[in-house]
Amino acid sequence: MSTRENNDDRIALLQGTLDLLILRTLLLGSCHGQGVARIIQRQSEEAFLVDHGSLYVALQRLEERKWIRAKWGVSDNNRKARFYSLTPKGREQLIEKIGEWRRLTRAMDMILEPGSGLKGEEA
Amino acid sequence: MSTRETNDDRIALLQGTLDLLILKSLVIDPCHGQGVARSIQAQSEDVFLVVHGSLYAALQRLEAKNWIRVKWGVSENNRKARFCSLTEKGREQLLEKSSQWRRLTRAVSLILDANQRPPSEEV
Repeated sequence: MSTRENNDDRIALLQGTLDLLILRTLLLGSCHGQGVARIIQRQSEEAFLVDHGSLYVALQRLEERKWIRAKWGVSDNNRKARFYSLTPKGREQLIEKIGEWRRLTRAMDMILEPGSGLKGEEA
Repeated sequence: MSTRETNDDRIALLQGTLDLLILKSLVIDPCHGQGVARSIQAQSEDVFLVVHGSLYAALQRLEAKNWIRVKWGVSENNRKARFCSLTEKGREQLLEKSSQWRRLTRAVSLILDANQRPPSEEV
């Protein structure tokens, strides 16, 4: 579980989804952990609340797998931070995971909304 | 995790998703466990592979929450089987979980389709 379910409307990130979102976020350029969390929250229109613990566990996992690499740098507000960027392997994984996500949502739609034809693209 | 990742194209069902699919498959008629698994597989055009163990664990969990009720009956091929049906509470949960799922997919799509980082003070 990657984010917690809140009292408000935010939703729990399903296992595996956080990895996908982190990789996708880093596709737009390298970033420190805090920034990744903020981008995910903002880009999802605050639907996701990324908790600190899950984020760093995920970043560590991705780094071990060599899907991302980390370098020390200085953030906008002049603090030392680890900046993460996508490796070529991470890029491949991202494509793979996006494909999986699309297959998953397509299959879910076939069950949840049978007969509705094309679905899931209407973001 | 409700289904396993296999060598072929089938994908792992994300945590929590199996409950939703089971509730949905019971919305019209009661059904025995095997039938639920078969209908999920068939409707997803075999994208989902429902593992026996996960299915029965999920059915038990849903019964404990009073979202489904289970009664002994006789299957098409004349074998004793436990038939599951949706309770009122289960019906409410189905609506709730479907809407959660839609919010999740919408939020993920917002991120997957993003071409640039959100404008922000200091990401």
